[in-house]
Amino acid sequence: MKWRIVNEGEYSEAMHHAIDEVLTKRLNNGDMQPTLRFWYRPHTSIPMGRFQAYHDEVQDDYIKENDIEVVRRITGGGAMFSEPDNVITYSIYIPKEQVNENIEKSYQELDNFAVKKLNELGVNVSYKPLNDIEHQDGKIGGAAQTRKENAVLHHTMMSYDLNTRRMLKALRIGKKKVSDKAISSAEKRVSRISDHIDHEREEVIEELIQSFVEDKKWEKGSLTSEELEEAEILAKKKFSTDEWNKKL
Amino acid sequence: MDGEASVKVPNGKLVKVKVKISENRLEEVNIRGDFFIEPAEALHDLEENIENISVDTNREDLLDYINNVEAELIGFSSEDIVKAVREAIEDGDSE
Repeated sequence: MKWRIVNEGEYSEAMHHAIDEVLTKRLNNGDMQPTLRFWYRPHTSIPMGRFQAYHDEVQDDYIKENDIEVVRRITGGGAMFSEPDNVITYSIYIPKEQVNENIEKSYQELDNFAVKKLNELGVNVSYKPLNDIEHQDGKIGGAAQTRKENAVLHHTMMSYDLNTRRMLKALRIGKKKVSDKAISSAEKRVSRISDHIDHEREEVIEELIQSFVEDKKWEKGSLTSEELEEAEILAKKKFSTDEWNKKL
Repeated sequence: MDGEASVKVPNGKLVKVKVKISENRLEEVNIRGDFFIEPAEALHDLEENIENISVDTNREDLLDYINNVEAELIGFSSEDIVKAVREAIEDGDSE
């Protein structure tokens, strides 16, 4: 079956996670073709891991002052900081039969198109198990998965040009009080695509798409109105609520 | 009494455990972190399976309670949970 490549659509953080849940469910039920979708966001936001507690991961005062949208994912993993135009995020909705049963290998295999392309462009990254994309200067991105009976959701976020200082103000990075020294050492561990190449973000995304479709039948596509309507309802009743986002 | 502890899995995830201790029993257990569990709902079962047990429960029994839950732990192991739970109990005791 042809892959659908969706490279459009600017949505709130909550809506993106609702789309992820809806599309994964539809693929699982056999109601959707395999899909690669790139994310665009209008505001600063933090997607955090499903098993993380809100107050452990974010600086609540800074979040409120700066109107940052925090959403708990349906996947595990850690909290990430996202600013419009400064990250590259994609979701892969893929039939489970096409995914390696070995979870560690499946992470590397599903992000391999991106790791390979980034290296070709001049960003020397490699995969660091379980789910990190690393440059020798620091972490550039991370991935997370969840598995259904017939479908796997694999989403990945990479820093294109993130502001590390703002990130460290918004995230708690697992410390009660982050000292100045801790900030500088954490900062060293982060790297960005724009630190290494001059390509515009859109160009990098186009290159990633070319790399992804190299060995596949594919077509450009959009989300259907049914998919979007279902996701809008879910965004409202789940991913925008404290009941979900601050449950833990 | 409350206790908490974090265990960093080498090259892996951070497992944070909080416990509420009452009359020498684990009244409430929270397991949090940047790990993965499939199915996700099993987190609740993992916590529930060690709630209401004695704080003196030995390592092997704790491990059994965790391993009795049908769940795939990714990026960490049941041993890491047990280590964090035991350290959280110790932390609560020393308060």
